[in-house]
Amino acid sequence: MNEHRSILKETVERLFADLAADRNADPRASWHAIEELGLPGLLQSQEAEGFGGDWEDAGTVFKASAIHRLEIPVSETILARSWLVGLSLKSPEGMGGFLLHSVNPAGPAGLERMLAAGKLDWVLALGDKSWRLVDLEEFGFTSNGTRPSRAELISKDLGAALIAEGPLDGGPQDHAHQAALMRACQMAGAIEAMVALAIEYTRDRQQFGRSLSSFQAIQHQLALAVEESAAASCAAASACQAMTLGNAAFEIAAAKWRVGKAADRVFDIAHQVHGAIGFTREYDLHQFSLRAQEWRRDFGNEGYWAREMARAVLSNRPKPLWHFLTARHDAILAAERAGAGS
Amino acid sequence: MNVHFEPIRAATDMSALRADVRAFLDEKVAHLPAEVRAQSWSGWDDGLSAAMGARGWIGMTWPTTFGGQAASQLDRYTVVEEMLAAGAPVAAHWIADRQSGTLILKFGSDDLKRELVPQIATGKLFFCIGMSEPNSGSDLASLRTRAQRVDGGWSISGSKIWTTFADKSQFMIALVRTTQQDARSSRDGLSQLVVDLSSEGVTIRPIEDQTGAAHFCEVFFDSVFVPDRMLLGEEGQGWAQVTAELALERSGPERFLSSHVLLEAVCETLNEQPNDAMLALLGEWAAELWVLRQMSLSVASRLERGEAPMLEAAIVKDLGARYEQSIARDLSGAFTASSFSDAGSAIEPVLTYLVANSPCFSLRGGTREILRGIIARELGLR
Ligand SMILES: Cc1cc2nc3c(=O)[nH]c(=O)nc-3n(C[C@H](O)[C@H](O)[C@H](O)COP(=O)(O)OP(=O)(O)OC[C@H]3O[C@@H](n4cnc5c(N)ncnc54)[C@H](O)[C@@H]3O)c2cc1C
Repeated sequence: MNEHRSILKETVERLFADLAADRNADPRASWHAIEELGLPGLLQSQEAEGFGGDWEDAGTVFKASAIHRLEIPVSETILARSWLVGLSLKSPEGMGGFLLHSVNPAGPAGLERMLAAGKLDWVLALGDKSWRLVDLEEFGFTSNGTRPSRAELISKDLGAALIAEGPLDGGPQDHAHQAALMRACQMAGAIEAMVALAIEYTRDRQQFGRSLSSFQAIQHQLALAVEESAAASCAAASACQAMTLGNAAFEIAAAKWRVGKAADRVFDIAHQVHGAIGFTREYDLHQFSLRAQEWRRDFGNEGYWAREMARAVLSNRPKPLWHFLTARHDAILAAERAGAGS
Repeated sequence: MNVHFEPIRAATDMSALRADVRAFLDEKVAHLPAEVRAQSWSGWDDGLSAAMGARGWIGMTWPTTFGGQAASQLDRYTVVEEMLAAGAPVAAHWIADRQSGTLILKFGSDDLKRELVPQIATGKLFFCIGMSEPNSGSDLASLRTRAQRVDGGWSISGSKIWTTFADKSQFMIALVRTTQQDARSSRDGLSQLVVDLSSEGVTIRPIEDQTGAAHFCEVFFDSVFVPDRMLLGEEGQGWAQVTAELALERSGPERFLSSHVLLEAVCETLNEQPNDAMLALLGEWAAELWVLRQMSLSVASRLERGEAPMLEAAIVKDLGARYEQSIARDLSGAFTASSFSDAGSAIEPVLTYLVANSPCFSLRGGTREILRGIIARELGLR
């Protein structure tokens, strides 16, 4: 890891850990601390008054936000703001997010929940052919006390709450990929946190006169969980690397698929080794395990991405899969050598 | 949790070397039937090994004074992954290139290095590994084959089993007991000896495996004389040497490419409009392959920097074996009569072979359970 990224990682982890330590903290105060670091503009270039980070920096922040289970949409804001730059728009202040109107089987339930709960100040809604930037503070709530739904955001008359709108050339495909990668990084974080909890718990908990982690059956389950977590983190980080250096549709699909698999296997192991305590509302595990399950479905689940990858591979025939993979990776490393990366 | 799989960074340009290897493979390997290519690092062809040696592709990382190219680990990685992905029958020089030569360079006397290493690099001198015994598998340190001091060397008595290609190799590096059993621990008093398999007193009996091939053997030693200069490293240090040797062979491309010929055969002959199950399976393989290669390359770049990522290497092997093993069996459960074009008839024998061969992927070089024990130990759980 290069030096500037290790500093970013350390700083962000320290901040997120502090924010997470106080569960009753005012989200506005937490957000203020995040803005002070300039994190919301992480993926905006310095010319665009941003932080000037790249996707590997962003991946580090996305993952850390999940490890510390931040309840505020820092990742979503970072991504939405970078898209606003692409649309030549100045970003509104405050906590933002984005909604993709019609991509992939299951929608991002987490974002909709944040939207419904009134946690977002603004949202960028992307339809198939158009986008809208909406001021949610201005919108207030409907007569039912709710925020506008995804469909309403794209089609309804929003009056003064509509900051800007326009056509989406090329559709929301690239955005959907990036959103999937953001989730993959967050999932890698949640998975790592589940494994850490499982290791810590089985070390402390005694049964039959010894700690659970001294039983071989438990050790082997933990080893498997660590393997899965390693694969998830490597997949997410590798896709971020590919992203920095150009088009990463394949790597993102592969990462979201692999991370989803890992989330599922680790869910099983982490809950099992925790026994009943892990099933309680009080204990932290569900904050990672249930969220990771929800995230599996966001922006394309494993079945969706597996079929997408297969179509990409088949469309490359008669080139062998091996040549397809190695050519992509050689190109990524070549671009890095040429100085595109950091 | 201290597990590190940083993606590999801007490496030197591999594309020219990759193209050279592919041209070689087009000429020497592409025409072989898929079921022959499926054997890959279990497939023996001394002609191919000699041709690779002539191109400098064996012992690539070794010093030029000993017949190597002083190439980087990543150059070697590129050659090996290309060979395996294409299903080149590389078994003849495989062990000598991957383990024995490096071991001799590290622990052998200068005379022994000069005598053996350049010949290995030509692709004409083959080695096997004599560790396992009938009563010592995972518990390797319990082994009983003994070497006694005699005038000018050692005399070995005992037997080894599951020795891959002992019948076709000129030499074995054997792990034997050189001091008395009453040492403090069974791990003390072990040593590594280079044994010339044409020596008097050596009997080799091939064992047929469930695929019908007879590639591993039982080897008996009846007072076999081994000269002093054939001792590797220090007497009694065999255990430490062997552990280091095994640790470094856990994370290479052979850990995720053993079933690759089948994957490509499916990819090549799958009909347009495959059913959803086949489509999903192909996508899953592509994703797994991509991630495992990323993980394996990450370890390779750390090895190149002189680090010793034991934990990560064990992780790659366990995950890799599971993936390699799943390919043939998952395919068995997913394809239909209309999945493949006519050329798909090539799938059947490859599938049958790999279903039968796949159990060994999580046995050879340390079993799945032993690997998970190593991971647990590295995590500080035991
Ligand atoms: C194709 C093939 C090629 C081989 N080539 C070579 C070679 O060239 N040279 C060589 O020296 N050896 C070779 N081997 C042998 C290989 O290294 C051994 O098979 C391996 O070390 C396991 O030993 P074992 O077969 O005696 O199984 P065992 O050790 O008897 O194990 C049987 C089962 O019990 C499990 N087990 C054992 N101990 C424990 C424990 N403490 N906790 C939990 N589970 C445990 C194992 O994981 C395994 O699942 C080869 C094996 C195969 C299959």
